[in-house]
Amino acid sequence: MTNDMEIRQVNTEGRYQIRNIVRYVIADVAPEELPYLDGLCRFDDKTILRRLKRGDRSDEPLGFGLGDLVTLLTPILWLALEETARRAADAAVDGAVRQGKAGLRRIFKRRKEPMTVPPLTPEQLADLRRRVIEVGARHGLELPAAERLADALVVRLVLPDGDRPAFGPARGDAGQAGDDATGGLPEPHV
Amino acid sequence: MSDLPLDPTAAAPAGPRVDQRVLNAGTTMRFVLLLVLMLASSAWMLRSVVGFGTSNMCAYAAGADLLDGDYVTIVAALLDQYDALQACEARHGPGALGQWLYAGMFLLLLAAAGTLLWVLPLWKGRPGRVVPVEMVDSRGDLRAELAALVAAAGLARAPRFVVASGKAGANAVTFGRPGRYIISLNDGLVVRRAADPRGFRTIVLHELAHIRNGDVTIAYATVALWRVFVVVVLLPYLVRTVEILVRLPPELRRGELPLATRNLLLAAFMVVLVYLARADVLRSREIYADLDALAWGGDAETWRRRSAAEGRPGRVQAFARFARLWSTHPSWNLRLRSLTDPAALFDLQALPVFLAGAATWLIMHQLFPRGLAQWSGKQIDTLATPVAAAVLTGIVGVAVCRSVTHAVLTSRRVPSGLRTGLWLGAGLAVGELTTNRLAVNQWAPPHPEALLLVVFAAALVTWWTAQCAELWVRAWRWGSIRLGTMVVLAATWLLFAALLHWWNLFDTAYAYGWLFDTSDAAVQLFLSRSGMTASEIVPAVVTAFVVVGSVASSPLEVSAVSVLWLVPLLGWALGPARGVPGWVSRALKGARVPTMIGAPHVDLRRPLLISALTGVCSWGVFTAAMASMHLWSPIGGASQRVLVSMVLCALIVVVTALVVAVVVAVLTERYQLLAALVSGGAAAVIAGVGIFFLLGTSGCVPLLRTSAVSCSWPSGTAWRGVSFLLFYALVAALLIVAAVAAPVAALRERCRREAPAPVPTAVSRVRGFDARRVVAAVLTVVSVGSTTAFLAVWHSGPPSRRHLEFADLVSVRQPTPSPQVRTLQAAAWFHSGGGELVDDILDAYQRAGSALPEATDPSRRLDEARLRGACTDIHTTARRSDTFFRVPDRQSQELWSRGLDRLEKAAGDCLRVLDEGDHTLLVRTVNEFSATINETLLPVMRRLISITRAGIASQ
Repeated sequence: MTNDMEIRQVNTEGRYQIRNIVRYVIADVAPEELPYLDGLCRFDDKTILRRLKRGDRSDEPLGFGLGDLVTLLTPILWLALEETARRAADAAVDGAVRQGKAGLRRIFKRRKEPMTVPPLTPEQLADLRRRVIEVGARHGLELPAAERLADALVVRLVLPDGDRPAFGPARGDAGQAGDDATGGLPEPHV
Repeated sequence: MSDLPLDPTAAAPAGPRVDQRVLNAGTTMRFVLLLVLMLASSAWMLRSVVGFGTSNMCAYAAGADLLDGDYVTIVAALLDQYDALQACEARHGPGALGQWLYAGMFLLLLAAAGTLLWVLPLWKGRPGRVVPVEMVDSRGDLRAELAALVAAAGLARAPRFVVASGKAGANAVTFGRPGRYIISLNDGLVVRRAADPRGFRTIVLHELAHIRNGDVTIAYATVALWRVFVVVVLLPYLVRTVEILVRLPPELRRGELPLATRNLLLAAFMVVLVYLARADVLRSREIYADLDALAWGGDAETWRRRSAAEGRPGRVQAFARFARLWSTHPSWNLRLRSLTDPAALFDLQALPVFLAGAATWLIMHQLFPRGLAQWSGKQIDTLATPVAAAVLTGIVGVAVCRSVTHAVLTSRRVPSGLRTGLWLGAGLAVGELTTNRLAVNQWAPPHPEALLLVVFAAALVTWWTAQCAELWVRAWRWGSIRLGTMVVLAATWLLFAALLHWWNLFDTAYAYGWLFDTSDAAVQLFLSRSGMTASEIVPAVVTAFVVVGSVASSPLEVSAVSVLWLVPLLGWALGPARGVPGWVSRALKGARVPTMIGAPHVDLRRPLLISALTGVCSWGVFTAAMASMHLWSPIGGASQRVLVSMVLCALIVVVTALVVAVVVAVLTERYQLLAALVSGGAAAVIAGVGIFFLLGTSGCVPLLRTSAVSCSWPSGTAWRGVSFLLFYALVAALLIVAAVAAPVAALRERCRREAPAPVPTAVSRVRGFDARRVVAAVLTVVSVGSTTAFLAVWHSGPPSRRHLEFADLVSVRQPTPSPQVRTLQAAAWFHSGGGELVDDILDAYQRAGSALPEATDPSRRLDEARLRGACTDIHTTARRSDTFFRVPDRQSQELWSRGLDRLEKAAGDCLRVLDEGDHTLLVRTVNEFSATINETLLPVMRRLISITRAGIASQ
């Protein structure tokens, strides 16, 4: 089921699924987190977001206990991208409401689909970069490392197509992107 | 949580590191207590759910005043109509359907809990949530490492390892059921394995330790039972209680409102208690798992890093501490500190002790409700007391012994156990107040201060246990220390059993003011055979008498009182250990042996010398008093002389013991409580036995001959009475010694805390050795022998007043109750069967009327069979009413009684006339029914209604 969701295409030109962007960057900067991301990607976006936001706060009996210091990059990327995507979507919703029923249908339909990031303007990219650093700081990531992560994300988002690896939804194996750790950002959904 | 040790090696403990398993932890017992509490509460609450009813309708119908009445009048009212009361309780108890429903719900609870225990691991380990470890371990190295860790932990059977998808925290959790344990590793932990392999190993080892220590099954058993309890018992119980509250008739509101409110409170208290107790016991289990993980090769760095991140507790300390109470894990600071110094596992903490006290009392009350026996003070032999005492000993006694052993081994200050006991007592008292047992229909029992008795008694037991444990631990050198503490714990069990037995019998009496009741009726309970009247008794003496008398009323308490001084005496007789006992070396694992081991601990020679001298002096005093009575004969009759000599014996024994105990408590530097008890007990025995023989042989010495007539060993009732009183005085002496010497010793204990204890000087061991054992042996043999002999005589003789004779109280005059209580009584009488009787009579009367021929309707003829049936019914009902409660209103009762007599006679006439065939008289008998009903029964009903209205109006 999860694989289906990952490769589901969105009929919007130039959009990338968040999970694919995250996988691409993580494969590059923190490949050891790929099993974790795999585990996460077994759930839909809503569940993943809830889990990431909640963190691991459950004081389960007979666990080792809370208070670990692991700073994973995956949640930072995901949360920053999600925020950006949501803002972009909000803007789209404003437009959609103006466009009437057709727009509403599109919104309702989209809710069940994987969240995607549209092509970003330079301002939006700058905003995304700042957000990664913010979220990183909240998660205990030091500033230089956060900046490196943000840069990696932004670079991967703006690189010309020629530099992108042959990896994308068209191949239908986005779920196994971790296998080729050097892989690039998938083709945008068409 | 003061200083944060960043490096475990820097946080060197004050003493050597003690093996945490030197003694049983008692945590399993705390789990068991929780399970039993939930089952007991289920049994109790389900009774209410299926409508067994816990209201006191029958008691009110019997004319008792549970709202304003004092103990003696309530008991008198209940005993006055005891047969009707029992019949009422039986009639309004659960029917067969209720019994089946009750049993069914209880079985459902057990089955559901068992199923949940089985299903919970399946749910937690469902495929959508976790994946098998093979899925993330393509190279197989993870599985190899896990297998190595399982081997390191020494587990016979490896658990199943799974990975919890998408969980970022470097954490793992264990769950499962017996034989099928699952360790779920968070994704985050697996990710971190490459960067922090030692942290990974540590966390997995910690989880394996949980399995090895048997934490999983019992922890999840409490979880499963709790969840089912909430759904099957607690929620229906709440609904039922609220329903009762909402549908309460106004005339019952005043009495039932406190009852229902407390039921709600009990539910809330249960939730708090279960959560707190479970979190508390899990926290100790975490530290055990930490220590095992470390021992199997865990890395202290794992804890150190988390502890550093936790930081120091700041301003929110109070809130953080409160929040910590509900957490299933201790703070990281504490966990780190415990790695090098597991003092937390040995500390005496207030919370678990308080919870154990409350839970124990709830179990006692809920599993073995005493019903009417609660009021009558009648002994009920159930397993409740020994079982509850065993639980308390397993939790509190073990905790005290552990703490003392640790303190001795690490040369720290030995805990007094006093504060622990106060917490335990507070738990017992709070448990008592949460139930409806004492306050019944009131918001609080009339004398809540009586609960202080149980608080102080519990404090005395734990204080005594701590001091005795220290004595025995420092003396013990044979095999495991568990064996040594067993002796103390067995004694503690006896003391707890006596405490619970005594309190279970007399709590209601105390809380209803019996202690403070110096009325004739109350005094009569004790002194009915002494020939004295209340005016001759000093009121304060009555209070002392009531307490002593109630404690000395059963062999259990009498044995406990002997144990109070004999166990410390034997501990002293053992003498301090010479050399280093094997168990000390094992517990310390080669660390430096503490100074307390091998050093002389307590010197009882001087206290025992004082006891002997004072005891012998008491013989002199007694002889002089007897001689003076013989010479001057200030008292007239022989019986009075016997009485005076009896009182004199008792007084001399008690005063001797008391003087010795107080002097010793003041003079002794350490173990004041034990020294006071031992010296007081020895003095009482020396004085008592001496006086016993003096009395027995007094006939041979003309100067002392007061009551005895010949030079032979006396026998007969008088002698039996004297011996009994002497024995009674021995018990009383010890109790009074404990009550008076304890505060003195507590004060001295406090002073000691401020000034460091002087190091005891070495005593000459060789000479003291044999003498010490001989003295202890003689005292023990004499005391145990005399106690056994007296108990045997006590039980073998003709039935005497072993227990308090409440039957004497029936004649106690009942005061006029308040309008509200009269309303309750009237309503209860009506609802518990009075209304039914009236209905039956009216119904039969109508049938009788319709069976007669009608003058205006010639077609209607006499229906003889119908009339015979109606008259028989009236006759039966009128006779049945005799065994029912009297109407709880004197004026109504007169009418009621007269009416029933008339009806019975008229019904008899009716049947006789029918037999004789003289039908002309039939109309007259039926008219007599009508007249009787109009003149007596209906006025009674009208009066009850007006009483009810008056009560409602006055609310």
